[in-house]
Amino acid sequence: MKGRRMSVHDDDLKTRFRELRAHIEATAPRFDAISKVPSSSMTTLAPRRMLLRQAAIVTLVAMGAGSLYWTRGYIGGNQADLRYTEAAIVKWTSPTDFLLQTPGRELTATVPALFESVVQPRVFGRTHTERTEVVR
Amino acid sequence: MSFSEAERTELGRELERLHAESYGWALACCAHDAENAADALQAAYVKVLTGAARFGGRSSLRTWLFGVIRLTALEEHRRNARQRPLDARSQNAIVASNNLPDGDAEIAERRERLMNAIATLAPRQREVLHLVFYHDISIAEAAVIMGISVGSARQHYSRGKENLSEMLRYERQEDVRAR
Repeated sequence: MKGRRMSVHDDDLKTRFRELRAHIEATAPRFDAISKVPSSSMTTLAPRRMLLRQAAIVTLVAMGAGSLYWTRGYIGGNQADLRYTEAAIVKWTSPTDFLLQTPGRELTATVPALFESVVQPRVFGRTHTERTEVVR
Repeated sequence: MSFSEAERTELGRELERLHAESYGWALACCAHDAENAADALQAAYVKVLTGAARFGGRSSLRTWLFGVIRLTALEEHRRNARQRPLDARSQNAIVASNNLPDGDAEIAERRERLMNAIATLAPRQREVLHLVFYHDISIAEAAVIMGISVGSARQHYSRGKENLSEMLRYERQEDVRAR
């Protein structure tokens, strides 16, 4: 034993274990018999990961192709259909659209010009636009 | 990650060199049930040869291999515990012991006495004593194989040795009284 002082007990135990070891090693099964790796383990263990990887890649490619096919009409489809679709979206009005005709709605529907006030007070009886025209 | 043919051949050669010791350790991990030990050892070899368990070089090959065998034996034990009742396992151990050829009756008796005494020890004490006395492994290396600290391994070693000596001394006294 490495680095230990042997006592009588240790000597006795060592002898007994040595006898046990000699007996077990003499009756151990052959290495060939135990080390035979089943061919299923050799072929499936590493390729199993490869198969999973391939399945994942195929799934991703299929999903990508499917999404491309699904959006084909919006990307490279019939231009006429596309224009019709755009026009339909622009022109479509809801039957209950009148409920959204709130006062001041035009303020949110248009983009004001840079020096134009969204509020047009009448100064001396004229709006800002009218005064500008007079100055010119 | 799979091995090249040369790597597998080299690994196989190392496993063969350590086979007798590995079998002894597998037996210790399987309560000296020869059938379970062979199954556990084969499962461990499969792991090693297919790359499921890779040697990282942080310890000796034997230390690493013994760790793989120990963990594989534990897995097999859990699997077998669900499938086979306890009585059948005990019978396997007894039958395996009795069927082994033997030239010297006194040595056989001492061996039987040692195995009976070892069987009464706590698992960790049994493992560390087997590694130290059977395989001539240091306590530090045994700690690595068992996955415990060196301090714990030393404790299990000293308590196990005390218990084992007590058991063997008790059996010797019983023999003397019987005569």
